[in-house]
Amino acid sequence: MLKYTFSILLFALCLGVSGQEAPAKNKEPRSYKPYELKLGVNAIRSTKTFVDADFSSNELEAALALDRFVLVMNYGMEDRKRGDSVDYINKGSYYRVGFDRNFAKDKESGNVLSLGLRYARSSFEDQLSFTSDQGFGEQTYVFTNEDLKARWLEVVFGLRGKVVSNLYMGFSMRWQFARKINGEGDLKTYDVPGFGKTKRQNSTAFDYYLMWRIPFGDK
Amino acid sequence: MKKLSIILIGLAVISCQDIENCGTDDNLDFMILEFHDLESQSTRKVGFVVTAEGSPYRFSLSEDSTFVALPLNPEDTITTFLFDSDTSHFEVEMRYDPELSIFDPSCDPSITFLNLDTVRYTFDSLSIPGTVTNRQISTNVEVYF
Repeated sequence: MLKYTFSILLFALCLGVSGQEAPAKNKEPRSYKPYELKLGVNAIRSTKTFVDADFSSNELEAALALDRFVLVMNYGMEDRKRGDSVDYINKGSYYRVGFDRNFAKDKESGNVLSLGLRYARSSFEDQLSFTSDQGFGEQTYVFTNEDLKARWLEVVFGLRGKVVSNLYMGFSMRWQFARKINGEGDLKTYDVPGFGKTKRQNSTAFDYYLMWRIPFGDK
Repeated sequence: MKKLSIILIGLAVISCQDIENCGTDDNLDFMILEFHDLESQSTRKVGFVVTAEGSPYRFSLSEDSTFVALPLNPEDTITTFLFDSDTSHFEVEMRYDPELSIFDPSCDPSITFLNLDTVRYTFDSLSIPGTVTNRQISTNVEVYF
Protein backbone atom coordinates (compact mmCIF):
# COMPACT_ATOMS: atom_id res chain seq x y z
CA MET A 1 0.00 0.00 0.00
CA LEU A 2 2.98 2.30 0.72
CA LYS A 3 3.87 2.53 -2.95
CA TYR A 4 0.49 4.11 -3.68
CA THR A 5 0.79 6.71 -0.93
CA PHE A 6 2.63 9.25 -3.05
CA SER A 7 0.14 8.87 -5.89
CA ILE A 8 -2.83 9.31 -3.61
CA LEU A 9 -1.30 12.49 -2.17
CA LEU A 10 -0.43 13.73 -5.66
CA PHE A 11 -3.94 12.93 -6.85
CA ALA A 12 -5.46 14.87 -3.97
CA LEU A 13 -3.09 17.79 -4.69
CA CYS A 14 -4.02 17.89 -8.36
CA LEU A 15 -7.71 17.71 -7.60
CA GLY A 16 -7.17 20.72 -5.38
CA VAL A 17 -5.23 22.51 -8.10
CA SER A 18 -7.77 21.70 -10.81
CA GLY A 19 -10.62 22.72 -8.54
CA GLN A 20 -9.28 26.25 -7.99
CA GLU A 21 -11.11 29.12 -9.62
CA ALA A 22 -9.05 30.48 -12.48
CA PRO A 23 -8.76 34.26 -12.50
CA ALA A 24 -11.14 35.94 -14.94
CA LYS A 25 -9.44 36.32 -18.34
CA ASN A 26 -10.48 37.37 -21.76
CA LYS A 27 -11.33 34.22 -23.68
CA GLU A 28 -8.53 33.45 -26.12
CA PRO A 29 -9.11 31.55 -29.38
CA ARG A 30 -8.12 27.89 -29.13
CA SER A 31 -4.77 27.03 -30.61
CA TYR A 32 -3.62 23.54 -31.47
CA LYS A 33 -0.02 24.62 -31.73
CA PRO A 34 2.15 22.40 -29.50
CA TYR A 35 2.97 24.29 -26.30
CA GLU A 36 5.00 21.74 -24.35
CA LEU A 37 6.83 18.44 -24.60
CA LYS A 38 7.34 16.20 -21.63
CA LEU A 39 10.00 13.49 -21.77
CA GLY A 40 10.15 10.91 -19.06
CA VAL A 41 11.02 7.49 -17.78
CA ASN A 42 8.93 4.82 -16.12
CA ALA A 43 10.30 4.96 -12.57
CA ILE A 44 8.80 1.64 -11.46
CA ARG A 45 10.47 -0.29 -14.28
CA SER A 46 13.82 1.45 -13.80
CA THR A 47 13.75 0.88 -10.04
CA LYS A 48 12.72 -2.75 -10.39
CA THR A 49 15.59 -3.27 -12.83
CA PHE A 50 18.02 -2.29 -10.05
CA VAL A 51 16.50 -4.41 -7.31
CA ASP A 52 15.31 -7.52 -9.20
CA ALA A 53 18.03 -9.63 -10.84
CA ASP A 54 15.42 -11.47 -12.91
CA PHE A 55 13.87 -8.35 -14.39
CA SER A 56 15.32 -5.74 -16.69
CA SER A 57 13.20 -3.05 -18.31
CA ASN A 58 13.31 0.56 -19.35
CA GLU A 59 10.48 2.64 -20.72
CA LEU A 60 10.49 6.16 -22.11
CA GLU A 61 7.49 8.40 -22.56
CA ALA A 62 7.10 11.44 -24.78
CA ALA A 63 4.01 13.61 -24.41
CA LEU A 64 3.35 16.51 -26.78
CA ALA A 65 0.63 18.88 -25.54
CA LEU A 66 -1.69 20.68 -27.98
CA ASP A 67 -4.48 22.68 -26.39
CA ARG A 68 -6.41 20.22 -24.18
CA PHE A 69 -5.06 17.17 -25.98
CA VAL A 70 -1.76 15.40 -25.47
CA LEU A 71 -0.19 13.07 -28.04
CA VAL A 72 1.60 10.32 -26.13
CA MET A 73 4.12 7.70 -27.14
CA ASN A 74 5.85 5.10 -24.99
CA TYR A 75 8.68 2.84 -26.00
CA GLY A 76 10.02 0.14 -23.73
CA MET A 77 12.22 -2.92 -23.58
CA GLU A 78 11.78 -5.81 -21.21
CA ASP A 79 13.75 -8.92 -20.30
CA ARG A 80 12.25 -11.13 -17.62
CA LYS A 81 12.95 -14.54 -16.08
CA ARG A 82 10.38 -16.43 -14.08
CA GLY A 83 9.99 -19.78 -12.39
CA ASP A 84 11.02 -22.04 -9.55
CA SER A 85 10.76 -25.53 -11.02
CA VAL A 86 10.80 -24.16 -14.59
CA ASP A 87 12.87 -21.51 -16.37
CA TYR A 88 10.78 -19.10 -18.36
CA ILE A 89 12.52 -16.31 -20.27
CA ASN A 90 10.63 -13.58 -22.06
CA LYS A 91 12.24 -10.61 -23.81
CA GLY A 92 11.26 -8.01 -26.34
CA SER A 93 10.13 -4.46 -26.92
CA TYR A 94 6.85 -2.60 -27.08
CA TYR A 95 5.37 0.75 -27.92
CA ARG A 96 2.12 2.57 -27.26
CA VAL A 97 0.73 5.52 -29.17
CA GLY A 98 -2.38 7.50 -28.43
CA PHE A 99 -3.77 10.66 -26.98
CA ASP A 100 -5.01 12.06 -23.68
CA ARG A 101 -7.62 14.67 -22.90
CA ASN A 102 -6.21 16.90 -20.18
CA PHE A 103 -8.86 17.96 -17.65
CA ALA A 104 -6.55 20.10 -15.50
CA LYS A 105 -7.85 23.66 -15.68
CA ASP A 106 -4.52 25.50 -15.53
CA LYS A 107 -2.65 23.96 -18.44
CA GLU A 108 0.18 26.49 -18.18
CA SER A 109 1.19 24.91 -14.88
CA GLY A 110 2.04 21.71 -16.78
CA ASN A 111 -0.08 19.64 -14.39
CA VAL A 112 -2.09 16.92 -16.03
CA LEU A 113 -5.25 15.11 -15.03
CA SER A 114 -6.10 13.04 -18.06
CA LEU A 115 -8.06 10.27 -19.64
CA GLY A 116 -6.86 8.76 -22.89
CA LEU A 117 -6.63 5.89 -25.33
CA ARG A 118 -3.62 3.93 -26.53
CA TYR A 119 -2.87 1.42 -29.25
CA ALA A 120 0.00 -0.86 -28.22
CA ARG A 121 2.20 -3.41 -29.97
CA SER A 122 4.90 -5.72 -28.74
CA SER A 123 7.51 -7.85 -30.52
CA PHE A 124 9.12 -10.50 -28.37
CA GLU A 125 10.33 -14.07 -27.89
CA ASP A 126 9.96 -16.51 -25.04
CA GLN A 127 11.37 -19.84 -23.93
CA LEU A 128 10.30 -22.45 -21.38
CA SER A 129 12.78 -25.07 -20.21
CA PHE A 130 12.39 -27.68 -17.51
CA THR A 131 13.72 -31.08 -16.51
CA SER A 132 11.06 -33.67 -15.87
CA ASP A 133 10.04 -37.28 -16.35
CA GLN A 134 6.98 -37.18 -18.59
CA GLY A 135 6.88 -40.98 -18.82
CA PHE A 136 9.85 -41.10 -21.20
CA GLY A 137 12.66 -40.95 -18.64
CA GLU A 138 14.06 -37.77 -17.13
CA GLN A 139 14.80 -35.25 -19.87
CA THR A 140 15.33 -31.54 -20.29
CA TYR A 141 12.61 -30.05 -22.43
CA VAL A 142 13.02 -26.71 -24.21
CA PHE A 143 10.15 -24.95 -25.98
CA THR A 144 10.67 -21.65 -27.77
CA ASN A 145 8.58 -19.04 -29.58
CA GLU A 146 11.02 -16.95 -31.62
CA ASP A 147 8.82 -14.40 -33.33
CA LEU A 148 5.86 -13.34 -31.25
CA LYS A 149 3.73 -10.26 -31.87
CA ALA A 150 1.02 -8.86 -29.64
CA ARG A 151 -1.30 -5.89 -29.84
CA TRP A 152 -3.85 -4.45 -27.48
CA LEU A 153 -5.74 -1.28 -26.55
CA GLU A 154 -5.62 0.73 -23.35
CA VAL A 155 -7.77 3.25 -21.56
CA VAL A 156 -5.39 5.34 -19.48
CA PHE A 157 -6.10 7.54 -16.50
CA GLY A 158 -3.11 9.77 -15.83
CA LEU A 159 -1.91 12.30 -13.36
CA ARG A 160 1.24 14.45 -13.54
CA GLY A 161 2.17 17.05 -10.95
CA LYS A 162 5.01 19.52 -10.77
CA VAL A 163 7.70 18.57 -8.26
CA VAL A 164 10.22 21.35 -8.83
CA SER A 165 11.16 23.62 -11.75
CA ASN A 166 10.37 21.62 -14.92
CA LEU A 167 10.45 18.26 -13.15
CA TYR A 168 7.11 16.45 -13.01
CA MET A 169 6.03 13.18 -11.47
CA GLY A 170 2.87 11.14 -11.65
CA PHE A 171 1.19 7.92 -12.47
CA SER A 172 -0.74 6.24 -15.23
CA MET A 173 -3.36 3.67 -14.51
CA ARG A 174 -4.13 1.47 -17.47
CA TRP A 175 -7.01 -0.80 -18.33
CA GLN A 176 -5.67 -3.04 -21.08
CA PHE A 177 -8.04 -4.96 -23.33
CA ALA A 178 -8.60 -6.52 -26.80
CA ARG A 179 -5.26 -8.32 -26.62
CA LYS A 180 -4.20 -10.57 -29.51
CA ILE A 181 -1.04 -12.65 -29.73
CA ASN A 182 0.33 -14.05 -33.00
CA GLY A 183 3.12 -16.54 -33.55
CA GLU A 184 2.59 -18.96 -30.67
CA GLY A 185 3.65 -22.58 -31.18
CA ASP A 186 3.27 -25.40 -28.66
CA LEU A 187 4.27 -22.98 -25.91
CA LYS A 188 1.59 -20.56 -24.73
CA THR A 189 3.21 -17.30 -23.74
CA TYR A 190 2.91 -16.25 -20.10
CA ASP A 191 4.02 -12.63 -20.41
CA VAL A 192 3.76 -9.92 -23.02
CA PRO A 193 6.29 -7.07 -22.63
CA GLY A 194 4.34 -3.91 -21.83
CA PHE A 195 1.13 -5.82 -21.13
CA GLY A 196 2.01 -8.28 -18.38
CA LYS A 197 0.63 -11.73 -17.74
CA THR A 198 -1.58 -13.27 -20.38
CA LYS A 199 -3.65 -15.29 -17.91
CA ARG A 200 -6.39 -12.70 -18.15
CA GLN A 201 -7.62 -11.38 -21.46
CA ASN A 202 -7.93 -7.91 -19.91
CA SER A 203 -5.50 -6.49 -17.42
CA THR A 204 -4.73 -3.44 -15.32
CA ALA A 205 -1.36 -1.79 -14.88
CA PHE A 206 0.00 0.96 -12.73
CA ASP A 207 3.09 3.01 -13.68
CA TYR A 208 4.93 5.94 -12.14
CA TYR A 209 6.67 8.42 -14.42
CA LEU A 210 9.39 10.95 -13.78
CA MET A 211 9.24 13.61 -16.50
CA TRP A 212 11.03 16.72 -17.69
CA ARG A 213 8.93 19.50 -19.22
CA ILE A 214 10.15 21.48 -22.23
CA PRO A 215 7.79 24.43 -22.80
CA PHE A 216 7.56 26.00 -26.29
CA GLY A 217 7.31 29.79 -26.55
CA ASP A 218 4.91 31.76 -24.30
CA LYS A 219 1.80 29.61 -24.57
CA MET B 1 -14.14 12.48 -6.63
CA LYS B 2 -13.94 10.48 -3.40
CA LYS B 3 -15.69 7.59 -5.15
CA LEU B 4 -13.24 7.80 -8.07
CA SER B 5 -10.28 7.65 -5.66
CA ILE B 6 -11.74 4.58 -3.95
CA ILE B 7 -12.32 2.85 -7.30
CA LEU B 8 -8.74 3.60 -8.42
CA ILE B 9 -7.21 2.34 -5.18
CA GLY B 10 -9.43 -0.76 -5.35
CA LEU B 11 -8.32 -1.49 -8.90
CA ALA B 12 -4.66 -1.11 -7.93
CA VAL B 13 -5.03 -3.54 -5.02
CA ILE B 14 -6.99 -6.09 -7.13
CA SER B 15 -4.33 -5.97 -9.83
CA CYS B 16 -1.70 -7.07 -7.28
CA GLN B 17 -3.61 -10.21 -6.14
CA ASP B 18 -2.48 -12.95 -8.45
CA ILE B 19 -1.45 -16.02 -6.51
CA GLU B 20 -2.40 -19.39 -7.99
CA ASN B 21 -2.83 -22.75 -6.30
CA CYS B 22 -0.96 -25.33 -8.40
CA GLY B 23 -3.56 -27.98 -7.56
CA THR B 24 -6.28 -26.08 -9.40
CA ASP B 25 -4.60 -26.50 -12.79
CA ASP B 26 -7.07 -28.51 -14.91
CA ASN B 27 -4.57 -29.68 -17.54
CA LEU B 28 -3.37 -33.30 -17.57
CA ASP B 29 -0.15 -34.47 -19.21
CA PHE B 30 -1.46 -37.98 -19.94
CA MET B 31 -4.45 -39.57 -21.63
CA ILE B 32 -6.92 -42.07 -20.21
CA LEU B 33 -7.57 -45.15 -22.33
CA GLU B 34 -10.48 -47.39 -21.36
CA PHE B 35 -10.98 -51.04 -22.38
CA HIS B 36 -14.38 -52.21 -23.61
CA ASP B 37 -15.94 -55.47 -24.66
CA LEU B 38 -16.82 -55.34 -28.35
CA GLU B 39 -20.12 -57.20 -27.98
CA SER B 40 -21.56 -55.87 -24.73
CA GLN B 41 -19.88 -52.42 -25.06
CA SER B 42 -19.33 -52.47 -21.28
CA THR B 43 -15.93 -51.90 -19.70
CA ARG B 44 -13.62 -54.90 -19.85
CA LYS B 45 -11.11 -56.12 -17.25
CA VAL B 46 -7.69 -56.76 -18.73
CA GLY B 47 -4.18 -57.66 -17.65
CA PHE B 48 -2.04 -56.00 -20.31
CA VAL B 49 1.54 -54.89 -20.12
CA VAL B 50 1.59 -51.51 -21.89
CA THR B 51 4.63 -49.88 -23.45
CA ALA B 52 4.91 -46.43 -24.99
CA GLU B 53 7.49 -46.39 -27.77
CA GLY B 54 10.44 -44.27 -26.67
CA SER B 55 9.68 -44.84 -22.98
CA PRO B 56 11.94 -46.93 -20.73
CA TYR B 57 8.90 -47.93 -18.63
CA ARG B 58 6.42 -50.79 -18.91
CA PHE B 59 3.02 -50.34 -17.31
CA SER B 60 1.77 -53.65 -15.94
CA LEU B 61 -1.98 -53.58 -15.44
CA SER B 62 -3.53 -55.81 -12.77
CA GLU B 63 -6.07 -58.39 -13.98
CA ASP B 64 -9.07 -56.25 -13.03
CA SER B 65 -7.95 -52.98 -14.67
CA THR B 66 -10.51 -51.37 -16.97
CA PHE B 67 -8.44 -48.33 -17.91
CA VAL B 68 -4.86 -47.07 -18.07
CA ALA B 69 -3.28 -43.60 -17.91
CA LEU B 70 -0.78 -43.29 -20.76
CA PRO B 71 2.01 -40.73 -21.21
CA LEU B 72 2.22 -38.71 -24.42
CA ASN B 73 5.56 -37.37 -25.56
CA PRO B 74 5.40 -33.54 -25.40
CA GLU B 75 8.32 -33.22 -27.81
CA ASP B 76 6.53 -35.14 -30.53
CA THR B 77 3.06 -35.21 -32.07
CA ILE B 78 2.75 -38.98 -32.33
CA THR B 79 3.17 -41.70 -29.68
CA THR B 80 2.69 -45.43 -30.29
CA PHE B 81 1.46 -47.77 -27.56
CA LEU B 82 1.88 -51.55 -27.45
CA PHE B 83 -0.56 -53.67 -25.40
CA ASP B 84 0.67 -57.18 -24.66
CA SER B 85 -0.78 -60.11 -22.78
CA ASP B 86 -0.01 -63.85 -22.88
CA THR B 87 -2.53 -64.34 -25.68
CA SER B 88 -2.77 -61.06 -27.53
CA HIS B 89 -0.94 -58.07 -28.92
CA PHE B 90 -2.48 -54.73 -29.91
CA GLU B 91 -1.10 -51.40 -31.05
CA VAL B 92 -2.49 -47.87 -31.01
CA GLU B 93 -0.76 -44.90 -32.61
CA MET B 94 -2.02 -41.55 -31.32
CA ARG B 95 -1.59 -38.11 -32.89
CA TYR B 96 -2.03 -34.89 -30.90
CA ASP B 97 -0.96 -31.27 -30.50
CA PRO B 98 0.98 -30.63 -27.29
CA GLU B 99 0.36 -27.33 -25.51
CA LEU B 100 2.66 -26.11 -22.76
CA SER B 101 1.99 -23.18 -20.51
CA ILE B 102 2.87 -21.77 -17.13
CA PHE B 103 -0.04 -22.03 -14.73
CA ASP B 104 2.04 -20.17 -12.18
CA PRO B 105 5.84 -19.73 -12.07
CA SER B 106 5.94 -21.58 -8.73
CA CYS B 107 4.21 -24.64 -10.25
CA ASP B 108 5.41 -27.37 -12.57
CA PRO B 109 4.80 -26.67 -16.25
CA SER B 110 1.22 -27.11 -17.32
CA ILE B 111 0.95 -29.61 -20.18
CA THR B 112 -2.11 -30.62 -22.12
CA PHE B 113 -2.67 -32.44 -25.40
CA LEU B 114 -5.23 -31.18 -27.88
CA ASN B 115 -6.91 -32.69 -30.96
CA LEU B 116 -6.26 -36.30 -29.96
CA ASP B 117 -6.73 -38.60 -32.94
CA THR B 118 -5.59 -42.03 -34.08
CA VAL B 119 -3.12 -42.70 -36.85
CA ARG B 120 -3.76 -46.44 -36.68
CA TYR B 121 -4.93 -49.14 -34.26
CA THR B 122 -5.20 -52.93 -34.22
CA PHE B 123 -8.08 -53.22 -31.73
CA ASP B 124 -11.41 -54.10 -33.32
CA SER B 125 -12.76 -50.63 -32.80
CA LEU B 126 -11.74 -47.35 -31.21
CA SER B 127 -13.51 -44.13 -30.28
CA ILE B 128 -12.25 -40.83 -28.88
CA PRO B 129 -14.85 -39.29 -26.55
CA GLY B 130 -12.33 -36.77 -25.19
CA THR B 131 -9.96 -35.06 -27.60
CA VAL B 132 -8.31 -32.95 -24.87
CA THR B 133 -6.46 -34.15 -21.78
CA ASN B 134 -7.81 -32.38 -18.72
CA ARG B 135 -9.52 -33.11 -15.42
CA GLN B 136 -12.97 -32.40 -16.83
CA ILE B 137 -12.73 -35.42 -19.12
CA SER B 138 -12.69 -38.90 -17.53
CA THR B 139 -11.92 -40.92 -20.68
CA ASN B 140 -10.03 -39.85 -23.79
CA VAL B 141 -9.92 -43.07 -25.77
CA GLU B 142 -12.12 -46.20 -25.70
CA VAL B 143 -10.85 -49.39 -27.35
CA TYR B 144 -13.18 -52.32 -28.17
CA PHE B 145 -12.05 -55.91 -28.63
